[in-house]
Amino acid sequence: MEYYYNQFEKCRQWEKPHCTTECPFHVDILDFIEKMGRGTYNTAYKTFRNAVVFPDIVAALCPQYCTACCARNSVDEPVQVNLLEKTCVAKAKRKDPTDYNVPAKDWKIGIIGAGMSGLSCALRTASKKCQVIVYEKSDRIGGVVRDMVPEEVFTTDIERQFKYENYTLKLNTEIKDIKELENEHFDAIYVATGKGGNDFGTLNQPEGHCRMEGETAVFAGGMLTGKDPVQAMADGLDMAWAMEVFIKVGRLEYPKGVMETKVVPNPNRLKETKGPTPSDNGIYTDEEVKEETARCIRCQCDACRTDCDLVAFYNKWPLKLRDEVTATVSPSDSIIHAAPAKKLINTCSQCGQLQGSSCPSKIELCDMIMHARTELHRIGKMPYGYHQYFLEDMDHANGSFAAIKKMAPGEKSCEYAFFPGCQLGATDPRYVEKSYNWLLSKKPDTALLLRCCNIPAKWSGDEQLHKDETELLRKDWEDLGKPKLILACPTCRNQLKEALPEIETVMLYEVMNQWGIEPHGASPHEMHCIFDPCAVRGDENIKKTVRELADKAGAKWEDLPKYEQHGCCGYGGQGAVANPEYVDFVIESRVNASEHPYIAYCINCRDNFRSKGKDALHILDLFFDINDDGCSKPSLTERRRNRERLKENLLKKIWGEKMEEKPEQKMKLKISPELTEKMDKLHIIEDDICKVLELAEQLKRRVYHPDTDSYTCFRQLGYTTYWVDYRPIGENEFEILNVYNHRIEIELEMIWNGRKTDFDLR
Amino acid sequence: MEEKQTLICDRCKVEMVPAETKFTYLGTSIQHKVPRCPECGQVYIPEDLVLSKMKQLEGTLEEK
Repeated sequence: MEYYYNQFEKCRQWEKPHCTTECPFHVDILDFIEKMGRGTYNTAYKTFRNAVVFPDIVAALCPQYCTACCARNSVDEPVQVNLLEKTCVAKAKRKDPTDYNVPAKDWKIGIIGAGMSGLSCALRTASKKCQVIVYEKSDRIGGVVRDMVPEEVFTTDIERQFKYENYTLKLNTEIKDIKELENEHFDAIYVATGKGGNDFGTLNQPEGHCRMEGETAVFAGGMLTGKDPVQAMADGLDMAWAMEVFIKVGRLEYPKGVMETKVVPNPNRLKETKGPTPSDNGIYTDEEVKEETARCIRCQCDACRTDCDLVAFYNKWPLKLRDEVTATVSPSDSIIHAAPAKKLINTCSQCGQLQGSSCPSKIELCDMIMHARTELHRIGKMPYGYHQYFLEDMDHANGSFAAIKKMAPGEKSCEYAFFPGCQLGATDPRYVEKSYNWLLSKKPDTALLLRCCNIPAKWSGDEQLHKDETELLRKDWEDLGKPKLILACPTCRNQLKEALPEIETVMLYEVMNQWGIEPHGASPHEMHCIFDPCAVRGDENIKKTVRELADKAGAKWEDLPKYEQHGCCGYGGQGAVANPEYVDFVIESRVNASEHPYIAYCINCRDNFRSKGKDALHILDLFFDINDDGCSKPSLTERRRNRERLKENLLKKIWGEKMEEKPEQKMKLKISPELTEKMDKLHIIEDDICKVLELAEQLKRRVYHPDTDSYTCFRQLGYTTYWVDYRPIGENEFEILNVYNHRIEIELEMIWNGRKTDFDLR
Repeated sequence: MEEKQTLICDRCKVEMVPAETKFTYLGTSIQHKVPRCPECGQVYIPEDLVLSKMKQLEGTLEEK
C-alpha cells in the first residue's frame, strides 16, 4: 500500500493555476473568483487583501500579469482579473482589517525606504507584532507610487491597513551607511531605497541580494533590484518572510519569488464566450461579475474528477480518496477504527481509465484499489456478500454443468484452443456454437476450453482462491497440450496475460480477420458507434481489427466522440452488488455518449447497455447472423441455463455425446417478468429460490399470511439471507410473489423455549 | 399507519408476536424487535424493514 500511497506525491491536485503563479503576490485567484462569482465581495476582498496587503492601491496599479498566461487566450480573451479586483474593492463593505490578538515579539526590524515596498514589508512584519522602524529620507511616504494612484485612495488604504498596527516612522532621515544603525541592534534590515537608491553593498551577493552585517541580516529588494512598483510591493512581503526565516532558524535565504506549476488546463472547458464590458463607471455590475467569473475555467488538475467514474461518482478529491482507502485497509481491532472506503473499494470498475490515460501523473488508483481489496480480505474486513454472486457464477461456469475441456473430434493434439470465456455463451449459446464451428471449419484440430478465466476471484480480493483457480486453469491448458488460446473476451485476455503469462493468446477477432471470414446475414443500415471495451485500452491493433471486421460486414460505423477515452460499461470489478447506484450511473453515462446504437466486442458491454434500453450489437452478430431485436438480454437465471444448454448442444452436435451430468429440476416456479427484473437487480437467481423453498417445505419452517393465503420463508445461503413470498400451486409447483435479500445475518438462539433451534437455520 | 397483518407460524400454528432478535454484520451485533413465533422462535422480517432500516444499517457498517 505504501508504494501506491507514495505515488500521490506526484498528484497535481494542489498545483496552482498559471494566473496565481504568474501574479507577484500569488493571489489565490481560484478562491477570489469563486467568492466574487457568489457575490460575496467582503470575503473576496479578504482573500485579495491577505495576499496583497494594500488592496485598493494594488487594484489601482495591477498591470494584470495573469492575462498573458490565461488559458482563455487560445479561444477569446483572458479573464479580466484586474477589473474584478477593482469591482471587489469598490463593492466590499467591510474593509477594516482584522485586529488579531498576537503576542508582541522582541524581533527588531529596520526598513530603509518608506516606498510601497518598504511599507508592505513594514505592515506584514508589524502585523506579526515585531518592532519595526522605517527610515525615509524624504518628508513623505509612498515613494513613486504616491504619484501613480489618486491621493485619496492612497491615504485611505494606508490608514485603514495600518489601523491596528504600530511602527515607528522616521521621515527626513537618510541612512548613508548601514553602520549608522548598529546601535539599534536590528535582527534584520530591509533595504528598499527605490530605483537607483543606495544598496549598502547588498546587491548581487552569493546568496542573492542579501548579506550579513555583523549579526544582522540585510536584504535588498523592490525597485532597487529593477522591479516595477507592483512587483516591488510583492517583494516587500517576500522579504518579510525571508526575515522571519532568518530570525527563527538563522538561515539567510533570499526569496525566489517564482512559483512553478504543472497544472494543465482542460481544453474541453474552453468554449468561446465574450466577456462583458463594465458598465458601472468602469467596474462590473453584479450580473457582469457573474458573467465574467463564469468565463474562468478554474485551471486545476481535475483529470480524475472528469474522467474517472469512481472519483466523479463519489465527488472526492484524489488525496482524500487515497487517505480513506489507506485508512480502511490499516489493520486495527478497535471498533471505532474508521474504515470509510469499504464500499468505495468494492465499487471500482477496475477499468484503468485514470491510470491508463487520464491522470497526467499516471497515479495507479485502479491498482491501489485492487490491492486494497486483497488487503481487506487479508485482514478479514471484506464484506463477502459483495462478491458472493460473482464467485458462485464463476463456480457454475467452471463446474460440471457448464465447463468443457476437449480436443476437437478425432484429434489428439491441437495448435489452438478456443477459449470463449464464461459470459459469451451465457448471453446466447449461439455465439460460442457458431464461432467454434467456424474455427473448426478453418482449423479442424482446434480444441475447446470452455470455462471462466477466474477474474471474479481476483476482483473479490481473495488471493488464495485466485491462485488456486489459476492453477486449475493452468492444468486444463496443460492437459490440452499447451495450445495457443483464441479468446473472445478482452477481459479474459488481460487476466491471462497477468496471471498466466506463459499462455500464448490471440483474440478471436484477429483470427477472424486473418483466417478470412465472410459475413452472414444482413448488416444494419443504421449508423453505429464502435464501443471499445476498457480491457483493450491502448491496444490499437485490436481496435483496428474490429473496425476492419465492421467494414467487412458492411456496417456503417463511427468512433465515439471521445474515442476510447469514454470510460467503461460498469461491469468490471463486479461492483453491482456493492454499489448498484454506481453501476447505473456508469451505464447511464455511457449509453448517452452517443445517440447511435453501439457495436461492442465485449459481451458484458453489450448486455449492460441493453439493460438501459440502448440498442447494442456484438461484432459477432454481424458475422454469424445471431441478430435478435437488438435490445433484449437474458435474465441471470437464463444465463445459467444458457451455459448448461451450450454444453449440452456442443457435446451433442460436435462430439455426438450426451451430457451425463445435468442439473436437477425438482421445482417449477412461476415468476412474473417484473419479479424477474427485480431478481436481476438483487442478483437472485431461481436456483437460490429453490434452495430456500426446499428447506421451508421440508421443515415447514415458514410464515403463513391468512390475508393473502401465501407463505414467506427464508434461508441464509453463503453471506446473504434470501426471503421468498410464495404460494404453492401444485405438486412441487410454486407461484413466487416476491423475493428480497439482505447481508445482515440473523442470529437465532441455540435454544428457544427449551428446544434446540440451530439445526434448521440455514 | 400500516394495517397490522396477522402472521401465523406454519409449523406451530400460532400467531407471531414481536420479540427481540439478534442480528450481526461485519463484527457488530444489534438487537431489534421483529415478529417471532413464541413457540419455536422462527422470525419474519418484512420487506419494508429490509429496505429501510436493514439496508441503512448495512450501508453504515460497510463504511465503518
